[in-house]
Amino acid sequence: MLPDTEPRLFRRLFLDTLYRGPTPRETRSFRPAPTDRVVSHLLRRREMFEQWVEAELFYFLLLDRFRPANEAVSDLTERLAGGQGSVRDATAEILLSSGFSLRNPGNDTFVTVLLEQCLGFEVQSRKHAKTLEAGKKIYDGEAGDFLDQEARTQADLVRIVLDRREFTALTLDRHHRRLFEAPLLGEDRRGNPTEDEAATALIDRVHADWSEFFPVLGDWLTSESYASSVEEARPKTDRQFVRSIFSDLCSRQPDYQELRNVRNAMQSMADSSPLRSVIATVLLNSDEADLPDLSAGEEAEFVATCFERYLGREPSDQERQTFVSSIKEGRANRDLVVRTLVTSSEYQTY
Amino acid sequence: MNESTRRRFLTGLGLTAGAPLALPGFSQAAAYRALLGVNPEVAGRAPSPFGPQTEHVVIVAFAGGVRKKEVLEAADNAPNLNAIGRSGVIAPRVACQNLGHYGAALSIFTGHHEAMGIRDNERGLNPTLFELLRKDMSLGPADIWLSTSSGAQGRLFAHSDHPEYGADFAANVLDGDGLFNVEFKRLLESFGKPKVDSDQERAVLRELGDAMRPVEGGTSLDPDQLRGISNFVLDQLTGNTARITGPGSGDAKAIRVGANILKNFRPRLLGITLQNHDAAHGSFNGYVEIIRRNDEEIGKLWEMVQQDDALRDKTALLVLPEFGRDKDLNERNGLDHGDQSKELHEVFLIAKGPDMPTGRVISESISTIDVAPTVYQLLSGQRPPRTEGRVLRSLLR
Repeated sequence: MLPDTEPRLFRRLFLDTLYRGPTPRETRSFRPAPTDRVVSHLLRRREMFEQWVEAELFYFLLLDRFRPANEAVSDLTERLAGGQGSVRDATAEILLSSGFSLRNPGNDTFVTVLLEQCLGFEVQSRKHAKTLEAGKKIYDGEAGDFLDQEARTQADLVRIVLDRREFTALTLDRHHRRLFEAPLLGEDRRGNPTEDEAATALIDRVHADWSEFFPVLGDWLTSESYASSVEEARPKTDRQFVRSIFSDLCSRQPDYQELRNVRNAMQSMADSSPLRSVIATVLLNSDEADLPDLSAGEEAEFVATCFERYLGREPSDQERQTFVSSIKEGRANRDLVVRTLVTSSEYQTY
Repeated sequence: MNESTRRRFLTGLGLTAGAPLALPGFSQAAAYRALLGVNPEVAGRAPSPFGPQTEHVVIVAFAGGVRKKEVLEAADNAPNLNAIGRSGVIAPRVACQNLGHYGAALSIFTGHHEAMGIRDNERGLNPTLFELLRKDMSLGPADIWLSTSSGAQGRLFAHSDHPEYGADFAANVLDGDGLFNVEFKRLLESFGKPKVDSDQERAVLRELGDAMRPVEGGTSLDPDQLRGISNFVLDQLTGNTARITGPGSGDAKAIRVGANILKNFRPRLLGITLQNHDAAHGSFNGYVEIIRRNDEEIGKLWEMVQQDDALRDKTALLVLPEFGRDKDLNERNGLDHGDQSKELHEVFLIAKGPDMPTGRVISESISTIDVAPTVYQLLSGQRPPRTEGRVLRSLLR
């Protein structure tokens, strides 16, 4: 059994799996708790599978009008959470959805995106020209060979691509980059992916049995290198920020339309920090704001609670002194304390 | 002005921490610039040794595929652009490569041919003009902007993944259609408008913020810059920009937002990337309508520049497509881009500026990737770093 989870690690685990920080109730339930217990719980949560599906839809840019209906997304989530299908199966459903076809209309775009997004091919390079041409003909209904396999339909193209080892490697590599900010695969001088022994073993493990995908994520999340990575703060993605700010200020998750509209707006800026400040202030000023209680004589507890809830840490002595005295002297109130924390640079990181 | 002096200056103006934007005797534009640390009274800039008069450059990239046939050879579609070109420079032989919209448009801003995938969600590896200028000229975040209608890919233009440049030297990117739209405006209004802070509240927010320990890994904007841009965004959100609708509204907003950025922040470089022209795949007529609408908006932007003493005679404008379109209509009476024709691979450049010749037609063949090194030299007065593109001597006086 691993030691009790350090607060920053606890927070990062939630943000990397559920794309939001822990709620006060979750913090009470799991601290203290060893990391493997926390990870095991998180990787069983329906919310984790739901967020995995959302992340994949985002990867394939199936957003807005190209996004599958909510029922389809919910159904896919249920089946993944219930163990009735693997990550590979779920990806196949996404690639065969009408949204994917609409997003990538025509033979050239469909096959190009399939090869680029699933296998990491640089389709513009000459060495893939024949593969692209073969795929385009099959897309149009001609039977033929595609990546050394017989194919007749779009579904065949998808199946062949997802059965390739490159798909397994690329999928794991994407998640490794997300969790460790480092690639699983290296690159040779020509830019081709290379594998070391450990990466080869992991890829083989998942390629042989796709139900091993989430256990591999679990191994990564309980590893020493993941625990030590919390020393360096990372910027929250737009999705992590939106889900966190709704959870932290309104005690609820944004619905799809709210998430979509806010995220799309934030996507509109290379550095969305100014807009994040606007959104945090709007939510804080709204009737929905659900903030910690502040009672006379309990100013220090209130400040500690806020730092814990919004930043996942205790206040420093200077922070405690400044915040508490400004409240006691009647200059700061509950809203201003919370606003300072959720519009801070620190809140943009985890 | 050191930090404490500047704060006193700002506090005196009531400009700290979310101050109201319209102040008596103090223009809104000046308010933004003050928040960003630029004293409005001394906002003049040191002249560039090479181009002594050019202090601001606007590059408009038609990043949705536009042929010269519908712009240069059909003056009714683009009267403003043609008028600007006639009094400035027209280059009718601009070579380009069909690298996909993203890669081809990025090429304009890096000076290199960028082979990127259609749905590529990765940044390029060559530093962009934005990063080069910010780093080499020690420019701040408010000096370099990009207004775009290119969606999520648009913000990838802000900076590259080059190890010596990157996010620390990024352009501020605003996608007008993504941000200033009715849906987002409605969503914010459903929560109610944020209340205006009192002076005392602003002071407390600053005091508490100053007490917090600094962190690595967050925004590179300092608190004043953050507030200045937040206020600009909020102002645009509550203004008329969100009400621009109809075909081509994404491009129209990008140009309108660009004009507002130019007016409020007076950046050294403003890029505007437009993508609605790509509606041409499905409708030739729709494509022409978008060319007309964009021409009208660019005309308004240029007129605004002429009306502003701080921008007039100091601002250069360059307009070019990333590539053209096919020679013939497709079965939907639209125009694709893939036939490798001259119409696809040869576009145009229209330019005008204080350090450029007037009434010149450049007959030599140039390339879309020549724009970045040329603008670099125009603004910095220095030789640009090595790129595939070259400095266009014929574009400069």
